[in-house]
Amino acid sequence: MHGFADRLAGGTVAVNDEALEREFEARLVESSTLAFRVAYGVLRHRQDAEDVAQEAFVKAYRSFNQLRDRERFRAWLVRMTWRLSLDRQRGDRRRLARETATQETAAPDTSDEVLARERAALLWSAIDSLPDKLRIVIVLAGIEGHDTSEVARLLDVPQGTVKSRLFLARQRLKEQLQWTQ
Amino acid sequence: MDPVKDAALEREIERALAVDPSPEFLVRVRARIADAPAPASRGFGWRFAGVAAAAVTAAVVALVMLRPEQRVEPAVGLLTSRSLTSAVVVPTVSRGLDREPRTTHRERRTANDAPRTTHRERQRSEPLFDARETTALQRLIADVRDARVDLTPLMKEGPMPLPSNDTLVIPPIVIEPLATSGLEGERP
Repeated sequence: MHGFADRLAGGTVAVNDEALEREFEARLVESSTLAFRVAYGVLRHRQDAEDVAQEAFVKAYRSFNQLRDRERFRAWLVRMTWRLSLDRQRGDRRRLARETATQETAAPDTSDEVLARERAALLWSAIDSLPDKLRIVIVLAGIEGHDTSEVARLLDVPQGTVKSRLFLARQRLKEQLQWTQ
Repeated sequence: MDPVKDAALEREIERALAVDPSPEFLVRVRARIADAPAPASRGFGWRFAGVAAAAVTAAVVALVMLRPEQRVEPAVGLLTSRSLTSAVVVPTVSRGLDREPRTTHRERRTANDAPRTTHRERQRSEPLFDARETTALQRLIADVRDARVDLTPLMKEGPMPLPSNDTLVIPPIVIEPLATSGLEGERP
């Protein structure tokens, strides 16, 4: 069987398929971190997030004929990764073993690091308590400095909807963080 | 503690999400995709799906077209189509061939109470009455009414002779009493 790299090199596939493969490789390289972080924003477990992002890319590859446009590809990938992550989170018992917990036992315990880790744990707990619609907006806005227009494109919703959801999500987070602190 | 500012909150979230995948991630994705079906099969898959969808559509259309002929006509529909009610209504058509017969309120209610027939059912019952025959009958009735056609020669021959009923013997009816013994109302 030919590997992915072999197929990219051509020889046994048609010219159009070669072009498709090259386009997909470009999308894969530029969107891999995005997909991983979207999954990580839900699962907060590095290995689980990589598994889910990988699954999303395989699905994207199968449907790549319809996803050749860059913006469309990224939006589709984000939504697919988000859905797969939620499915994984709901079904996976491993979600109890968060990466933060692992790091807590492994990392050296300076007071600053402990404090930062506690703050992160509180933040994630607050984010987890948000409804899905608010949660995905706050996660996407926190990835790679996405602005509201980019988030709106990724979610295929109006920019005003993103702004209002972002406002609501931040309000709730602030309330929760104040209350817990 | 100080309230959490928006900017601080954003920074905190960005920091929490600033996690990169492992260096092997892309390698694993490529390897997994290498196991996926070749791109050529994707095109074939879509073509195959298109052909399958067309075949299914054709089959459904054929079923819909053939189904009315295979269905048994409901008896009510046939009786309604053949009932004399429509024949009785015919003379009133002679007032104007294009107008509908005038009906009383009760007739309309009766017609409304009758089971409604769908457009398809009406279409199926139409062949029972050839449109040309209906038109010819209506014209004949209209012509008789307006004395354009004289039917008296047909009436001159008189009624058709009926067969003699002399051989028909009806025995007298005898009613047996219900109780033959004992008091009336008691079982024997």
